[in-house]
Amino acid sequence: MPLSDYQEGFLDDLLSGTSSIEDAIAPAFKHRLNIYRNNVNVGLKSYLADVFPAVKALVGDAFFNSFCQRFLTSHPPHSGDLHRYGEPFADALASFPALAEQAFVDDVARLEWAYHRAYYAPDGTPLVMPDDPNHLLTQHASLHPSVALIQSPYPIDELWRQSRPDHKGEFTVRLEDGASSLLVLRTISGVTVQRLEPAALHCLRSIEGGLAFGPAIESAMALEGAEQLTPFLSHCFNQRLFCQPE
Amino acid sequence: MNQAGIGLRAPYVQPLLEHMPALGFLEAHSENYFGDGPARRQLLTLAKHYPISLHGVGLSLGRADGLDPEHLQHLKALVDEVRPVLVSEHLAWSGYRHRHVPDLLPVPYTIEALQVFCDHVERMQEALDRAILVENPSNYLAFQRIDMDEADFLNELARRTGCRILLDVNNLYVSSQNIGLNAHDYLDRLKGDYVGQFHLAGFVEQVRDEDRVLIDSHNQPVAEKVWDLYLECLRRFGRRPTLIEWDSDFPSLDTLVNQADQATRWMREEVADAVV
Repeated sequence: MPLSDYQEGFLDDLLSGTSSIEDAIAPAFKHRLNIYRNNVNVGLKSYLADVFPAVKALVGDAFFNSFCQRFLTSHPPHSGDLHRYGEPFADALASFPALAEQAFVDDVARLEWAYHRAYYAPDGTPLVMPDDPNHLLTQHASLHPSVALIQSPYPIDELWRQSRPDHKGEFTVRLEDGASSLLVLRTISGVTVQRLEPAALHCLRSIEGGLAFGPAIESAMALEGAEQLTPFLSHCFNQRLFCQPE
Repeated sequence: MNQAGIGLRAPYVQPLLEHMPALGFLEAHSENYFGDGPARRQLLTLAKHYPISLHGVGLSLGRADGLDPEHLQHLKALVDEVRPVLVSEHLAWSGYRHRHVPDLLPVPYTIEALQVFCDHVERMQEALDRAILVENPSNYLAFQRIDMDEADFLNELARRTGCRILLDVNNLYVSSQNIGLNAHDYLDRLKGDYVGQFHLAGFVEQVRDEDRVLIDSHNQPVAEKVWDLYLECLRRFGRRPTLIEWDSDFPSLDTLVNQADQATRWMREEVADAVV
C-alpha cells in the first residue's frame, strides 16, 4: 500500500471510522489499532473540553461528548499546532438543531474561542498616547492581535463566568438580563473579558475599520456611554490595546 | 553535557523560577510556545537560566505530502528566539493533506517512507539551519510489509541527512515488550556516533482481552527495567544529554529532579570516558 493511501485510510479510520487500514497491519496486531483510535478520540475531546469548559457545563457532559464526536468528523483538525483547533465549533453549535432553543450556547462558545486564541496571539507594537491630545485626533491605529469584539443578545459574559469550573458561587445569571458587548484582550496580567458600552464598542470598531481617533470618537457621540469615552480610551492605552497602524 | 534535564510543563514554571534546581537543561514541546503569549515569555525567562531543548510533536516528518510551511515558519521563529541547544522531532507522522491528529502514528519502514523522512529532515534542517534529532517511537503494532527494521531505518536516515538519533530508552523497552523487538540487538546495530540524546520516561501496563500492552504514558517514574537499559546505553554509547519526561499526572518538581539526579549520577559514575 503506498504511504499516501495508508495515511489517508488511517485518518479516515481515526476521525470517521469509515475505512480501515487493517490490511497493512500484521495479523497479530490488528486489534492494537484501537490504541490509536482511543488516543485520538480522548485527546481531541479533552482538548475541546479544555477550550470550551463553559459550553460543556451548559449543555451537559453527555451532550458535549456526542457533539464533539460529530465535530471531529465534520471539522477535523488541520494543523500540527493543536491549539489552533476549534474555530468552527461555535458555528457548528449554532447550526445544530437540538440547540435551537439555547441560542446563547454558540455565543458562549465564540467567547471561549476568543479567550483561548487571545492567549496565543502575537504581540503587536503598542501605540503610545501622544502628549498633545490634538495629535491623537488624526492618529490611526490597529487593535492588539489578541482583541475580539463580541456582541450577543444574551449576557454571555456572566453565563461564561458562572459556568466555568472555577466558579464557586450560585448560578444567578438570567437570560432576561439582556444583551452584552464584550472586549477580549490579552493584557500584561493575562487574558481579560470586559463589558463595553455601545459608544465604546462603536468607537473601537471604527478605529479597527480604519478611522482616525477623531472621527471614530465623533461617530460614537450619539450612543449610550459616550460621556465615558475619554476615560475608556485612556484605559485602552494603559492596557496597550492600540497598536501601530498596519 | 553531563547533567540530566527535565521536561518543561506548565506546573513546573513557577517552582523552577523560585528554586532554580541544578539541571542540565529543560526540554519544551515546541508547539506550546508558538505565538507570543505569556507561555513564550516564561520560556524566554527560563532560557536565561537553563539551556533549552525544543522537542516538536506536530510537524509530522513522516507525512507522505509536503511539510506544512507555516508550521515550519513558526518553529523557525521560535528556534531563532530561544536558541535551543537541541531541536528534535519524531519518527512518526500525525497529519496528511488537510487532516491532523494529536498523536504520533506509526510508519511502515519501507524504502518509500525512508525517502519521505530523508526529504523532510533535510527540509527541516535547511529551514532551521541546524541539525536536528529524530526520536524512535513506542511501537504498539507491526506492519504486514516492511523493507528494513527500525535500527537500520534510523541509521540510514542519520547517515543520509546528518541528523542525530534521539534514543528514547523507554520507547525501546515498550516496543520490545509490545512487538517482540530485541532491545539488545537493536542497540547492537544502532550506530553509536549517530546517537545524540537519550529520553527516559514511565509507562503503564494495560491488559485488554488478554492482550498485555505497555503504554508510553509519561505519567510514572522511570521503570527499573528502563533504568537497566539506560545503563546499557551509557556503557555502549557513552554520555549523552538525558531527559526525564513526565507529561501528565504531574508529581512535585522534587520528584522529577530526583529522577534527573539519578541519571546524572549514572552518567558520571558509569561512564569512564566522556564520549560527548
